Amino acid sequence: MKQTGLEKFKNIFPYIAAGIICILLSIPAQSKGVVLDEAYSVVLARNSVAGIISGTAQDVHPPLYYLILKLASVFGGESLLKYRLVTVLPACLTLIWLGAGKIRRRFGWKTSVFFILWFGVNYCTLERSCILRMYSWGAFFVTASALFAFAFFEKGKWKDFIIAIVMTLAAMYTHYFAVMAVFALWLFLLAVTFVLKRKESWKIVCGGILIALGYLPWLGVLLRQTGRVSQDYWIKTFEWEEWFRAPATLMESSFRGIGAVLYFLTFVIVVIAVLRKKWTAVCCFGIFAATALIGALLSITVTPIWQTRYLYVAWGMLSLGIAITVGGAEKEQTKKNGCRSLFSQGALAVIMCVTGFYAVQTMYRSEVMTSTADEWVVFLEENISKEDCMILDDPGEHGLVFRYYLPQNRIVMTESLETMGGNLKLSDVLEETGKGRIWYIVDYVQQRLGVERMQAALEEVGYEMHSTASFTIPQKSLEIFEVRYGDL
Amino acid sequence: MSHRKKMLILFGSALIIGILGAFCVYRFFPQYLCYSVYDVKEGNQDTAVLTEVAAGAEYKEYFTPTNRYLKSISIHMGAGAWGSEEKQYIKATLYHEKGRKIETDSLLLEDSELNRYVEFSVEKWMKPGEQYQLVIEFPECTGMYVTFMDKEAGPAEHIRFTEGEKETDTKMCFRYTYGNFSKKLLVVWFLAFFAAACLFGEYLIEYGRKQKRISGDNL
Repeated sequence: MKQTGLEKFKNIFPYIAAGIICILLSIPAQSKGVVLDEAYSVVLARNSVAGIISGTAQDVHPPLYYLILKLASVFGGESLLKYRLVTVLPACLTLIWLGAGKIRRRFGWKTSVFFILWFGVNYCTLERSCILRMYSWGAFFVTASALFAFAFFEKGKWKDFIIAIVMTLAAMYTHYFAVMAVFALWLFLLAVTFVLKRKESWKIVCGGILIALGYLPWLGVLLRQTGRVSQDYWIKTFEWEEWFRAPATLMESSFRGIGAVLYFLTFVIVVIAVLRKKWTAVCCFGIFAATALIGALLSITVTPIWQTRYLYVAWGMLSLGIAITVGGAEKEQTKKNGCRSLFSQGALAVIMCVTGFYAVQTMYRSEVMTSTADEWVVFLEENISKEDCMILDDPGEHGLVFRYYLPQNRIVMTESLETMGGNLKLSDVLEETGKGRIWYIVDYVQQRLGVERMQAALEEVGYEMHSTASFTIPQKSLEIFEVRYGDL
Repeated sequence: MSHRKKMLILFGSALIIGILGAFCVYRFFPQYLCYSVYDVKEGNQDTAVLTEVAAGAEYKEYFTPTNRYLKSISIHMGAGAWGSEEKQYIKATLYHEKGRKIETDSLLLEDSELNRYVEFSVEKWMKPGEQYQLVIEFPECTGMYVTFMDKEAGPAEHIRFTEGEKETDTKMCFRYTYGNFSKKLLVVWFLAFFAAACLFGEYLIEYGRKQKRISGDNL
């Protein structure tokens, strides 16, 4: 049957909305600034596959995201732009494939549009999609797991079952909060199947067993990491107030206070979902809440592991729950009892447009887009050769950021010098450089030694330093000095 | 009642609820509206001196706010000397001159965090020109140092300062932080309450129809 213009619009509009948001998400990918966590991702991805797996086993995250970066580097080598686009890709898949595709076909075009808006225009998605970390992939895998699991529950197709299991395992190998989210998903699914389709419960149990078997290779690593983290971890405290405010914090942008408004709306929509018996939506909210609750309980009973940004992996579930409640399934529109006015949907659409506007403004005014990282990279390319030695005045772990930019140079942190109680003599460092030049780079945001003390230490051994350039890269304010043997 | 009439009533009711909701946020929950800092007033610290406060000490600052929305009042504290592991708490209560309690806040402090302004949250609408009283208590504090300055060193808000009930020649270094409310955010709150009212209204209409259908089927 030929589609009417309206039906064509209903089918195409979600793709247009998703496409526009994907373009907005992709533009920050051109940023050349790299922060510590991103440098960690890139430097780890430089290792072999075995090196990546053993490296992540020593850390506190699963390896899949780093393996994805490694796979990307196979095609054309290491490239920051390519890595950023690979990190934006799951957000685009969530919006286009899941949002405009699966959700539209299952729940209707309005639900699809609201999912795309709530998921795509909140600042957390913009932020998490452009930083070289695993959150966007985690959110995609969790959302996909849920959609295919719901589809399997409704239609019983084995294809959906297998994809749900694959996506679940992918989520579990991406981030541990994603493990909590998919655990909650399958638990809800088992409970609902037991109540409504008891005879089919064995399929869900089998699915759980397959997932457990698939995760067995990493389970030992997880237990070792848990033991290590329970003794000493960088997250020191857990606060219920911070936990409770987490959804508002995720939605906050430069338009301060918008997070609180959206949080209020979320509560209202959850109540409406319960009143209207939108059990799929309630299940989605339940998965989001359970992820947060499990994170809180582990933080209290084992060791603090809560960081608001980790909750982002369940963002698709919250978005889906809101979209189903507000958008309304197509079938409902034709029911006699159904009531949907454009007023609520229109008001929410306006709020989402305002949210999106300020989220984009926040991103485009942030350090990611306004730093002089481009000039910094050009400076490095034009002035630094492989033989040069870099003396960095920054906390020790931040050497990784410079290790990203200068993979082949000798990097000495000022913290390791005798001047600061370390075991390296400055004179030895300077003499060992040989034909290469010597640079002192100070990060004014968190310098350790300071320019004056460095100058004094250099003068003691007959060297002097000259300021060459200054740059602002994300989270760093750098000044670069060239160090030369001087006629003092 | 026709569907159009129901939608008109729904729209009208949602408008009213939206306006009422936005007003409630403005009047009773201004902390969700007033995020930006409008002005900061503090005195001249040339005469500032660190003084150890005794356990159980109570100080009162009488002041008149110069702007409508007071976000916080801060006092300057020197580095603590009671040991880094232990936390001590101080409490501040804000009263109107007529005795009405407006806000209270407690701070749990580590001595390593100090040598700065510590902030008591207020987040309330004030009446410029009227007198208020801030009571600061140090219940069990040892080794706690607060910066005191000459009582004439400002800011303009200051009226008098007492230790207990006795007026002193010096006073703590106070910082008054005033906020401003965002009209854009107020409009968004209106839209949020409007949308919430519409959602509830739609649910009630649906529920009504369902009940009608059930009672119709029963007949």
